[in-house]
Amino acid sequence: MRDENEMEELESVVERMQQGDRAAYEVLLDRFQPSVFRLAHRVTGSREDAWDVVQEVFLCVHRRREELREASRFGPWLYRMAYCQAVDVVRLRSGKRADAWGDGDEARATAPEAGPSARAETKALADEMNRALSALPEKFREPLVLATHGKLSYEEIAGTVGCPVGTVRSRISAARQLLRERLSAWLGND
Amino acid sequence: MQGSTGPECAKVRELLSARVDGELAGGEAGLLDAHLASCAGCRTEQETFAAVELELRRSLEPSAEELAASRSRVLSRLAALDGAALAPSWWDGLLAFTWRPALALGIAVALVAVIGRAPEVVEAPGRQSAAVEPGDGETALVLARLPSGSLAGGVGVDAGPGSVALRLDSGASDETPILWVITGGEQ
Repeated sequence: MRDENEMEELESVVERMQQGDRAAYEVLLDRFQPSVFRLAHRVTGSREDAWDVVQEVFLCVHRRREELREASRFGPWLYRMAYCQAVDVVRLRSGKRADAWGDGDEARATAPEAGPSARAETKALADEMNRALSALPEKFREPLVLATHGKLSYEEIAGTVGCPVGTVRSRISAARQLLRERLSAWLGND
Repeated sequence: MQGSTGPECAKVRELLSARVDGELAGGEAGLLDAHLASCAGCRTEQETFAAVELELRRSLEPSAEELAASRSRVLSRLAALDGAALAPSWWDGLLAFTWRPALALGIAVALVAVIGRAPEVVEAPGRQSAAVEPGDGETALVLARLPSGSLAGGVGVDAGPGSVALRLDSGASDETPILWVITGGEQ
């Protein structure tokens, strides 16, 4: 449950930002930049691409600030933009390479034992997670990423992607199940 | 994989997912815990689930240096965008340096001298026309107060019976010069 005072304060900052208050914009930039980065990094699998997404998203926040009807919806609005921007980056990249994740930050490996060290294995697992995420159907991946990295409630996600809350819930569950199947060999529970 | 295949087990997987996101409805937590207490397969599933979740949410923290650099880039690009949007054209710039001072002094003095008439000052709260007497000649100097509160001035030219067309330029960077049609009274 989110703190009501915190929400009211956020809404106030968002409203001031919408009126062109640069200081309010900077407050939002500082507050949301890390989470937008994490979401974008999770979707793109690349720090460099994630920072590019952050740049574009916050410029979009400025350009499109008047399109946001309710200040209370800033989070869902922001993270949806971030998600779409990140997906665009991946699509653009995958158009250039067969493997969208081939040049990501994480070490490439095809099996858990391939890494010479625990560190390498951790990176390889992260890389595999990125691959598993990218392989998810869009309708499963988007609500999962918005829930885990955007910290949106199922209700907010439902309003954002335009489907019932129950559907969001079942799709997120299905997404996790697919990830679990893909990663089971790495996690030693198969 | 250990057995976790019954219809109730399928439902439990959805509950496990909802619990991770803090989305269990009232009473569901009790149902979930009761099932886990009696189903070894689902308990194993829960452990795997937790491991996947840990990896999914693995911290992808940006460093303080990265955040600062990104912040600086965003604000720089924003300033550049704003500058491009607000930068006047060379013509506007020329007008700003040549017309406004002249408007304030030269034209006013000249018109007052020529037509023997002080400038009209009207409230102009938008793009609506405002009644003004354009004077008995074909030109009149009109000063108008724009929505921003700044005064704008211009030379009116005869635009037909009972009206003058007037180009007003407030000089404010966020206001576009407008062509203002002022309906005159009886001439």
